[in-house]
Amino acid sequence: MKPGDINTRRDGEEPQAPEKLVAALEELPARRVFVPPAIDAAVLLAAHRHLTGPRRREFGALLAWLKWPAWAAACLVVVGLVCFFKKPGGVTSTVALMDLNHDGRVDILDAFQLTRELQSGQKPPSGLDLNSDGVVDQRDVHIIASQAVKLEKGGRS
Amino acid sequence: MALTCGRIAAQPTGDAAGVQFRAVDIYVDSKQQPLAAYQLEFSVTNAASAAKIVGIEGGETPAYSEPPFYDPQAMQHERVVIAAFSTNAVSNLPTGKTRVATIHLQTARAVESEFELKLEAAADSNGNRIPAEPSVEERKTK
Repeated sequence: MKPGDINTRRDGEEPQAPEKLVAALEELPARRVFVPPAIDAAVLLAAHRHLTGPRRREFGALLAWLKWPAWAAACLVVVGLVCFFKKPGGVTSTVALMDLNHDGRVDILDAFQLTRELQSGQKPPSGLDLNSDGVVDQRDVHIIASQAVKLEKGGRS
Repeated sequence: MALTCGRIAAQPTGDAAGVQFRAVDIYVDSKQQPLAAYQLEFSVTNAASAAKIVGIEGGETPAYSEPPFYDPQAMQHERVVIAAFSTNAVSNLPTGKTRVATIHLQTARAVESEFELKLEAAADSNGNRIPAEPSVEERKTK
């Protein structure tokens, strides 16, 4: 603590403000500052937004944080479904392809339909190349027919 | 889906050890409709007969003279799904009661075999489903 320091408080002494400052402060109550109602309303609105904003921002931040895991989960589900149904040789996709007449089951009528389509010269869907030999023919018909009569577990299912 | 149940009378051929062989003819009656395709399930339901399927052959008409489709896993078991179709002209497809296949059974004992026959599909030459009745008869030995 230095003896000449103006910030140093000494016992028995009152702080002294500069005279100009004292005079200016004394004039303040006498001056009435006119604030237009529009500005007043704008200030109130801004204050209201400021005071209520943080809560909304927190909720928004929470939503933003949750959005990415939700998107990631949705993407995983979609990719999984695509892989499941598009997997080459996948049982589900193959059986669905074999159901040519769309009656919900693979039976001899599906093999019969493919045979009739082949004989009539119609171009069958390439997905029916069940043995992957590059052509849809009677060999694929036999695969469908074999699927139709397939027993799940030997003789007893 | 038509369902037939019944028993096969015992007129087997076999050896002294008790192993017997029976031939069971499978019929499909499509009435007035030409039979272009069929699929049915045959099963022996009584375990006492210890029946096993040992062979499957085609039927009597040219349209179904070839053996039908079946799962080879059915051999030595008591249940099989057989199916066949024909792309013959309508005039060459059978109508009425037609023998479409014969199933050969081996039974271990001289007991009647109880069976079940379920028609899963029958269709005309356009692939449209048609009503039909399956039936089974044991082939008489000479």
